[in-house]
Amino acid sequence: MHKELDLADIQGNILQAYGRQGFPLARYVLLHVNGGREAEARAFLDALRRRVTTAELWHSSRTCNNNLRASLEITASKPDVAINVAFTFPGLVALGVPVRTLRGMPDEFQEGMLKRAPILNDIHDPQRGIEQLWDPIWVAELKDARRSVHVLITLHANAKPKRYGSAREALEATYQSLAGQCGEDRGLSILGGHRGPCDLYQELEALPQEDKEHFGFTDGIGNPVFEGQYPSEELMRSAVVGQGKLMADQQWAPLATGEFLLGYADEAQETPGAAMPNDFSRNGTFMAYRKMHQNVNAFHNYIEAKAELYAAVHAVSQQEASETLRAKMVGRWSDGIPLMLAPTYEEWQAKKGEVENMPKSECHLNQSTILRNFSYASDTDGSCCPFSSHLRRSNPRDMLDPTVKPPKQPGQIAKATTVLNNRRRILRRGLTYGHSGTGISDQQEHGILMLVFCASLFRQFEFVQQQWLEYGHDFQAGNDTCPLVGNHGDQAKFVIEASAKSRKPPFICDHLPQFVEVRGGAYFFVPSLTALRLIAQGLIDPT
Amino acid sequence: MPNFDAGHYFLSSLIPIQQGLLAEQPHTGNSLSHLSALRETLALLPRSQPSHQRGGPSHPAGDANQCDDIAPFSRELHTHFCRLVVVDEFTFVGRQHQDAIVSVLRRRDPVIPKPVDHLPFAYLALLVDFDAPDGSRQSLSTYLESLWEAMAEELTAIVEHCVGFDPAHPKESFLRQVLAGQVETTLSFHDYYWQDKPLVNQWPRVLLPPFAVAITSLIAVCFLAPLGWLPRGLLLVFTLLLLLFWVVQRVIKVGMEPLPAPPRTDLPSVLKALYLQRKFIDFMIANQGMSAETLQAHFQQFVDEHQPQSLDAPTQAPGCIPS
Repeated sequence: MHKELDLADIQGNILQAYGRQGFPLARYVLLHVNGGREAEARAFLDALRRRVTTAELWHSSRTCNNNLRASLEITASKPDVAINVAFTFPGLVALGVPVRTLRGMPDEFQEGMLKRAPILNDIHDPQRGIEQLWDPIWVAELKDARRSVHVLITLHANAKPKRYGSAREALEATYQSLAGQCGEDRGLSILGGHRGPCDLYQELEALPQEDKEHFGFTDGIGNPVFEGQYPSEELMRSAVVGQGKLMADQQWAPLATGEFLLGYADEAQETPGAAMPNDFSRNGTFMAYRKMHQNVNAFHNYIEAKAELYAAVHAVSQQEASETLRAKMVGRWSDGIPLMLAPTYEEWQAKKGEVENMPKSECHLNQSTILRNFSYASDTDGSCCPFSSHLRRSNPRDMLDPTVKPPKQPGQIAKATTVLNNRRRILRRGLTYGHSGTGISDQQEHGILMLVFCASLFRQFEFVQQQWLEYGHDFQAGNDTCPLVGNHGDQAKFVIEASAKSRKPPFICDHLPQFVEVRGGAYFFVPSLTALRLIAQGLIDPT
Repeated sequence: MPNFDAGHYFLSSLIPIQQGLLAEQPHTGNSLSHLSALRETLALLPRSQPSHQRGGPSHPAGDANQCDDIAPFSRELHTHFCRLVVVDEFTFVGRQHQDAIVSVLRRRDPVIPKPVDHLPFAYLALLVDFDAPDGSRQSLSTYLESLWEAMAEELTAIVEHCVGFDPAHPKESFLRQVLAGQVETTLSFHDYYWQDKPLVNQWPRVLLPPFAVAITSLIAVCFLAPLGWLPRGLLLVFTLLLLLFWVVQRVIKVGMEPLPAPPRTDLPSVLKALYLQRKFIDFMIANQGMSAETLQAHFQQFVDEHQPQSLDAPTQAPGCIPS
């Protein structure tokens, strides 16, 4: 039976990326529940919950197909500003959630990202330490408990608001109305300490410049697809290709809902335990907030320097060497075409025009399907897409299947599945902040803010981060970390495998500088609308 | 085979820990059990750590060729790994399941508690994987003596809390303690095993002699023995049972034979291999894009400097884990 989710009970940012739905600007605000004023804080949330954006359908990319529009029940109108709420563990404690409910929350959520930074290998410069590396807002609680992060409110502004002249105006007005209700003598106060132009909030943009992030890559191409995420079978059939799970018959199928929402069966074919009562957990999920600074100049300078050597070794032009090195690190060419589709520079050039000419509708369905539909079973030596590339590390697809072996005859491919990967998938929502480009130094504020949604931070987000991005064992890469986002230390290297047929040795990029620096973050619980009501009304009965 | 396989001895020994209390503590006057004192001693033993986690100017990241303050077991150059664990009690996992109807029919009253079993002592489990020429008791004794020489002080602090320790003859009593507590290791501790040639199928070797005897007996019983059919039949069954017993004995005997030691899996070879692996990566990085002549000249320098065939220096120090 087709799974139907209660969309009006699920927060909208879990099921969709607002940036892709015509919300170009965002502002993230972190708040603290003032001691002794919990009742006021709950009253604030009780008023706010009625304005929270749910996953109900509006006319957007999920419903963009004209044929489908008629058959779908569109129940919501697109808001001027999408508002969503999430809580840290200390936040739930401060709001008076009962101990019996709290003790059902997972250990990693209770500890929080700050305590788990060493596990996540986030401290790239031990001499400076986390207190200097992270934005002050995330570490202030180490010295002053009254500055501990409790609540996250995210505001995403519609490009074409109905009641305001522009997205920026809509954002500013919503923020001001929010800020007007906060203060030290109120239930909640807005915390300061975001690095950048605005101390009191994090200003963000949905991927500008044709979906390019600061390093110049097209981002946000693929994300997991799970049962119930799309409102019709037809949309699901298209979305699931390259984004769901690969079955033994080589067909793609949606992942289990329980991998991304609490209260549903997951890929282990069981409904995992969650904080009681069920109404508190069901339709909620967990989220990791990661602010990541990008050393754009260091990246480009390193690539250009190494490209000279690569060009000499492989007898290619500097341009080709530089583009190839970029692609090998990421796993996709800068326009998003995966190496598995176009392993060489020539093939990329040939494919480029073909992909660009494909219809790029608002929903990106046609073009994106090409960019997502691949597996690694045919690349057992990593000569197409390096084992250690960012793409392969963050989602190894079918490569960990033990039935994947080098083909005995050319063209023979093992019918591998993604079964060992299905429990490690994460929904990623990325937004950029700051500006980079000519004349802007790496010391200035620019990077990406990533929100990761999954039902188990420990099993999904932390595993991918610790075992796949910050360690190389599963990728036959020893202690090597991800060449793009990994902690690089003094001697980081990245091996680009060469096929035996080419008779070339592997190319090694050595002494990788730190390209991406974690600047802070936290673990949040993203409640359902029901749970938000229970928290706001103080009505949680865990018995 | 138990205890010894592929050139490695796998020692498991359970040494009983003394019951009762140590003398009163000098400052507090409180008593301390041997068990607690032993746990504390074990907890404070230095452990091998990745070199980058040690920190400080004396341990720059990645310098794994020399390091100090490491596990004392690494001083004994046959020891691949050693583990010390306190096994103090069974875990009671509840009453054995009984069918409710059977209980009623047999008049077993589920209200009456079942006895909860206990270990007579708490034990110190000593688990070691070390290089040895064979699985004999002599090889084990030789290793234990060598281990004692390498870390007598640390071992004394451990086994003095165990039954049978003799302060006047600590080395001899340590050997007695370990040997008396040895239990058979039936699963090897590592998976270093490999062979250039595939393993020989042992079934023909096991079955051919009994099969030949079986055929001979069959012919003898059927055609030669001047007996009636009934005695012939009984004799045949008896012979076949004997043969079956013989086959089982041969299977066990062949199974007990240790696999041959694979080449270069002793500790010094493993350390040298790890050392060379790291140095060779550095060499590869430094020589990318070099001409064939330069590459050959540099490789000669690499061979001269790192001496791949020599197990002596330069090599990686035992107990150091490179970052």
